[in-house]
Amino acid sequence: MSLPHNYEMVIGLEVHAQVTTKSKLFSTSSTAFGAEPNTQANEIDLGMPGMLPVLNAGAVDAGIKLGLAIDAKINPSSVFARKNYYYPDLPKGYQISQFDQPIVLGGKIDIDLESGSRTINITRMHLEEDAGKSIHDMGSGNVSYVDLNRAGVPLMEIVSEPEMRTPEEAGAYMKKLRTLLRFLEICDGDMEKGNLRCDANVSVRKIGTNVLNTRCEIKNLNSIRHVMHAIQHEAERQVSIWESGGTVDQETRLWDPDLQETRTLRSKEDAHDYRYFPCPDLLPVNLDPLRIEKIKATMPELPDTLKARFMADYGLTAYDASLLTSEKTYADYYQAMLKSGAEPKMAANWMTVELCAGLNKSGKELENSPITAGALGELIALITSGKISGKIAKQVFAIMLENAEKGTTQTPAEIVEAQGLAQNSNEDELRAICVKALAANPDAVAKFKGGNERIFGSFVGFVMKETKGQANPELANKLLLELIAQA
Amino acid sequence: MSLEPKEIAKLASLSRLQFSEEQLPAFASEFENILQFVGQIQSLDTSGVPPLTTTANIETSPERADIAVIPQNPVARRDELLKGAPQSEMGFFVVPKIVE
Amino acid sequence: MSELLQLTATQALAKLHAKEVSSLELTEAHLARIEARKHINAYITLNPEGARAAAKAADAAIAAGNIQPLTGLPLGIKDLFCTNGIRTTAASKFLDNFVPAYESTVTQKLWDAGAVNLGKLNMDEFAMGGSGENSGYGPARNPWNDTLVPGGSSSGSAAAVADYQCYAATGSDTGGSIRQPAAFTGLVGIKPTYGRCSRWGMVAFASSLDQAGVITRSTEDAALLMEIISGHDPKDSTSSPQAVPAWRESLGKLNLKGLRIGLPKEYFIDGLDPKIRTLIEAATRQFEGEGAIIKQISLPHTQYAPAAYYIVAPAEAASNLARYDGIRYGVRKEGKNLVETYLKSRTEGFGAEVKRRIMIGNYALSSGYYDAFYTKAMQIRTLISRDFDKAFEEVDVIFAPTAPTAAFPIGAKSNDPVAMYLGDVFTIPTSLAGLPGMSVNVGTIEENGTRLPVGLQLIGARWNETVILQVAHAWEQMAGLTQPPFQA
Repeated sequence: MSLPHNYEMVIGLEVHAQVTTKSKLFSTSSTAFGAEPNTQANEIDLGMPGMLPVLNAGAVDAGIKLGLAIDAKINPSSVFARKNYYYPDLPKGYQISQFDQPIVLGGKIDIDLESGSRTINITRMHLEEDAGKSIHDMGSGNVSYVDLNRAGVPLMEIVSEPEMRTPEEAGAYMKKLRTLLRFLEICDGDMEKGNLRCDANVSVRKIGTNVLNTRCEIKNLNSIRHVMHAIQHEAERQVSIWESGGTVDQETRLWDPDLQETRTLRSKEDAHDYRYFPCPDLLPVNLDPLRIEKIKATMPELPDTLKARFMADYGLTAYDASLLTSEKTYADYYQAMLKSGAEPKMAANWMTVELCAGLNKSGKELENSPITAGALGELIALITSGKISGKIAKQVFAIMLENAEKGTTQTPAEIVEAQGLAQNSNEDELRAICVKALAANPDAVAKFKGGNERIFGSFVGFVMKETKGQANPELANKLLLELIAQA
Repeated sequence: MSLEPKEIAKLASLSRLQFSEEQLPAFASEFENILQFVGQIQSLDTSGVPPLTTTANIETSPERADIAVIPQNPVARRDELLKGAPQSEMGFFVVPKIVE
Repeated sequence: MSELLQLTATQALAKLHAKEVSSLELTEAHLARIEARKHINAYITLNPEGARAAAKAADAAIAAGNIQPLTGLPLGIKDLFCTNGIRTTAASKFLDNFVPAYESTVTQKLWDAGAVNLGKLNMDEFAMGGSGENSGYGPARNPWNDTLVPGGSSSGSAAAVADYQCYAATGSDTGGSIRQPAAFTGLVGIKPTYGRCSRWGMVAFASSLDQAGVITRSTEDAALLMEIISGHDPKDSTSSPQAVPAWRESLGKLNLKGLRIGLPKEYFIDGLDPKIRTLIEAATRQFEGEGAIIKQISLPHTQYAPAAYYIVAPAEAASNLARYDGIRYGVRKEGKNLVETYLKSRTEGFGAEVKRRIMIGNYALSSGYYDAFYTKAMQIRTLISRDFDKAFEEVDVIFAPTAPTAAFPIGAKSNDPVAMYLGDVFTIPTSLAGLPGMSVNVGTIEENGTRLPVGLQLIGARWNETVILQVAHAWEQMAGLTQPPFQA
């Protein structure tokens, strides 16, 4: 997607990621999804008189993890402030958020594009509490319903520098950030549930200039597709304003996916005066460097590092390596396969093709795959050791899937044994069958000798048919060629 | 220090308070007196002085372990907390329609 | 009957635990007294049934030999402390129907120690005021002369204790709300170091300043109760893990010889009633006579304290009171739409002073004024705190008047907010610095033919409540423990 009249986009994203803690940022209420309305809102979450916040260590740890992962500065002293505004789903009349002293400063994220990778700098990341939920389209027409289960759930707000230039880059940034958050196990990245949301700041300018024109903020984009579409449409809207001699007004806009357009939510004049000030119920979060070191020691290998390692050590293509590091579960599964003896390239292939198809068919995610990484790795090891052929392996795999459905377990080797599927590498036996194959088809032998190499397949087919596919294909090839040469 | 009526209106809106036409002049003059009183701090040079936002001399904000406390009967506890709500229905707080 | 009422809390407990009197008798005596003295308007909500039940339970515990420090002692609770199942209004009509489903830490500690809750005491709405006149439930009256204010914001606490309607009461002090009413009613009032008592369940006025404390008829009572209500609470992030000293035991163990008493010159100014000055100076000389060393000291930024306070406290209050929107609890006044409902609920639910402070607070925090007001006030807070740090290098305790005047007539200042604010001039600096402060009766003066009590303010260094309690106790020993007149 590009813009007419030599314009380019200047895009910065503010992403809100729900931290996967068990309890809320400042109260002990559960954060589980889908509870009865207001059953996970205690007296603190309801903003009742005299109630006080106490900070959740888990949320702080998550912030530190993200900071370390994006190579940022962890602020030795961050401060929670109150952001004051009125809304029925904001129980205290203020949101506790970090303002001028966020927990994470700077950092960078490398995004993967078709043209290669690009670094996007991060401005900051701060912790804050989520608001509740208002339902407007329920019951009688003139009231709204407020559920505060979500109020107080911890969020990380990750703010990028305005360095993205296309909707594709914005999409790639969202994907990468999501992968990273899931790798760190600090956010489940579920955009449908609203656990990952994005506000996009968009402006446009003539290519070659370095000006920052007035930007608009598009609020609450809840899928990567919406992020990309909204940015494209908003940028086009701005270009047409500039081109018709107008000026873009700074405002907050909403994306309407049905109409495929953004519309004004509020203008700059209506901008809130949030009256931020340090929350007097909390103290500055002064982090012990030892705590940061401890977390550093438990950090998982991150997707970029893993990807590079998979390519260098296992000879995977960039595509496969990206795919296998796009989720921590994929990478974990893959590495577990290797541990049980699978050859890396074949393992990658089996995981991305056969396993993927199998999971699709059963409608399951890798997390609850019916076939363990160990079992699949073992199956692949049987191929590389010459015990079975790739073709037989597919049969074994199908039996493994059936077994899983029936709830019985058999190792791949046991299946091969029980079904008598082991590859036939007995030279004498195979030679006899090869002799038979040639004898049955003298015309073909003549054609082959006359230069028709394609006809060789019919000899192999004969041998496979005779051995129910269990002949060692390499050995059969070798013997056939020898016999033809002798004939 | 004098205040424009527009400024008082803005403050009232930020405060979610209303002052009637009759109350306004008296309130404005009272408010100006107070601003003059608190404005005394302007006469002191405080450059370079760090602000003191709390006198709790504790090393860092205390943190609690990430453990969820679930009431024995979440619905009963919810109903207890909602009992004093001006309007509620099916466990929700009910408010006049929110218009964006 | 009246003799029982006139005991101090310590004396009453001794009689209770010696089974000379039952908690039920004491409770009934107080309930009758409250009923007979309704015009003092000390209580907003009475708890007769709960009190009787608790008294009976206390009597049973005493009979079984299971005696806690406060078992059976009838107390009054400032209506700022949330009490589970008992209406808590903070004297605001907005909370007229609010019944908490939780208990404040301070009150929980009192009940755990065996105390009996007589009811919830009147106060200035959300603790904003220095006279008790800003109550949504009418002003409490001063038992010394019921045309006068009892001081505020803990107006009902002071009135009830001075009028023998409870043995002691909790209070809260943000800029003087315990010390000043104690002074106006001839009682002992102590506000500990910020962080000493948990703020959990205490309706917030200004979070960085609010501290719980007590109003009593003797220093021994104050020490006893402070030991109970102090201590670390993991539910309040600003609550200190400092150990709580055995204050009651420490009383009488101070050697006055060599005690360094500081007299800050900024507190003995033109606005101070000369009769009050005379009393404080006389008390100081008595201490000098006992061997104490009197030092003239300076707290140079004192004059900026009231202005800084009236920025900081309203700024925090504006934010703290934003939750009163009529959605989840409290009294909602329906408007045509959501915004109107907010406006009506708040405008009709809050009194004039509360609205004034919300407006000041939002002014100080709003864009364009933040640095000139809020930040500047916080810087002044630093300077005031440093003044005290320096002073406590030279002295052990600071003596000052608690208030510039004695109790004034109801209505005298109600139309002049600034004059009312200046009444806190001597208590505010301590609050801004988070230091412990106490008021103890230092005698009486004649004002228009009425004898009125005067308070001596004792200020200690951070975490040193011990020294002010010891000095107050020493004063009671030297001058004799005075008690408010018992009005039959």
